[in-house]
Amino acid sequence: MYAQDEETLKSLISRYQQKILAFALYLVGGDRDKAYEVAASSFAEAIRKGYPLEKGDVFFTRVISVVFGKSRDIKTMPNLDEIDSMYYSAEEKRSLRVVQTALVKLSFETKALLLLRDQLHLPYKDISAIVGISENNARVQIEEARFSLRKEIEEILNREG
Amino acid sequence: MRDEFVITCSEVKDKLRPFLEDMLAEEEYRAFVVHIESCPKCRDYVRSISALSNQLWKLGDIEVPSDFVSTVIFNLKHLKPAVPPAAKPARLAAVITVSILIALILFLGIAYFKKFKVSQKVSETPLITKQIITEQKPPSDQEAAMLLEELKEIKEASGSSPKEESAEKTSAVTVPLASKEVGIVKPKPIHWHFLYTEEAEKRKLLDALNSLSIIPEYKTQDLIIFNATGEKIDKVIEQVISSSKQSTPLRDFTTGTPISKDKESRVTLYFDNVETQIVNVFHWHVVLMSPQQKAKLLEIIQSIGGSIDYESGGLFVFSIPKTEMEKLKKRIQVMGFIFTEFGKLESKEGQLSSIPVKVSIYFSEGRL
Repeated sequence: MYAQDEETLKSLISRYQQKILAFALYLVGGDRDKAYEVAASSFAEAIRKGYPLEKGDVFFTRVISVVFGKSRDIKTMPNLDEIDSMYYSAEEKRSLRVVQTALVKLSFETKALLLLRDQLHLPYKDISAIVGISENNARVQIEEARFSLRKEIEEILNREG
Repeated sequence: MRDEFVITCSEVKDKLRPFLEDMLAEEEYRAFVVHIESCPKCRDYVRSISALSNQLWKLGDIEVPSDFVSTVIFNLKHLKPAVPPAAKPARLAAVITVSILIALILFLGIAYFKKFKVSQKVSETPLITKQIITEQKPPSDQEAAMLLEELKEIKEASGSSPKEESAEKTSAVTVPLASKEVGIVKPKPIHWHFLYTEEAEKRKLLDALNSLSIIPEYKTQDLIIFNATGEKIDKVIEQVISSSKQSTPLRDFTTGTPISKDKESRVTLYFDNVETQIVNVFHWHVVLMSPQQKAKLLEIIQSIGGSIDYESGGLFVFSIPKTEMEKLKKRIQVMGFIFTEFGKLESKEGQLSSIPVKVSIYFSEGRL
């Protein structure tokens, strides 16, 4: 059924898998298995819906939209592993860990807005379509989300002295 | 994209601060992102700046499991799409419809199971159903996937939620195996589990096998697999039980079922660690695996750090760090496989180590 597109599919999935998985990971509170499940099924759903494979960016945004929808009702306990990237120094990892911990404390919508703009760098137009709010609202709410994240980070740092 | 919205390397420095503060015009922001995504030097430079937005960006540097792409392709080919949730006004009607469908599926499923002699209790049905099974035409991949779904629905409808099952599994070593089965493998294997067996008793069992010229097809410290006729199996049981010091040293999970005297059955023996009393061997039944599904399962096992130790028709044995067992099980559930586990994962402090655990899997190769 998808044989003719299989190579295109593999290439597209490879291209976007890390971004999609990371987005899913933080939306579901850091549960890697759940994120894997959500990301894999979102790719499959987007492909089944016939989203345009040839337009990589559009396809990517559609998959992100599916991940957003699927993750909304998933309730998992925050379960963040150590930062697994080998590219960062110990100090950088500690700093990222603080941001990670603060991020997980935010509400689903707040997290989603932050990740869509500051992790995935999506245009406001796409963000508003995914979240279902106007572009202006998206701008305002993302600014508020950044403020909330900073506040959480400050609280964590104060607690840690 | 128009030329004025293309960002070059020399412009990155000027645009950096407004980018990090999200103050660029949308077209410029997009052009900036396009550039840093394609220019590693600029990307590294931008990310080296300490800013909150960069921290979030860096959090996206997660490791991707090596089997992710093939999992998506596999899901597309083999799993039916999920049914979208019904809209609120239609929810009641949907609930009624689903209830009727579940009842119908349950009814058809039971009829189907009866027809193919699947899912049987030890006391009600014969052990070996090979002849009936081999008369059936193997299902196609699509049929296999559909049947898998039906089996799942029937299992869910019968009230055995995964949570409940998990709780049951912790004591699975002491209850009859076949009463928990969802499907049947071909040929029907026999399982014995030696609970905290002493080395001397294990020796007696090996001597019994030796005296009957039974050569194990696979043998490790914890696991022995051999083929023998029902007659020989009876003799082994007789010899071992009669010489045992313990009251119930040998648990034959298929006790009470007739074993064909002249046909060979595959017997799997498990030995728990005598000194530590930790179970190092697990046994899984995986229901209805097509060759493609089997290949996918092997790939998952390997991607999680498992290694295949032994493979022979309808059976394979693999080793995996104990710490990865739960991850593997979740991954397998994502793939839609139905499997039943026998054995328990010790979780006492200090015992859940990365010591490899052996898992043997029986499966039906594309047919019931």
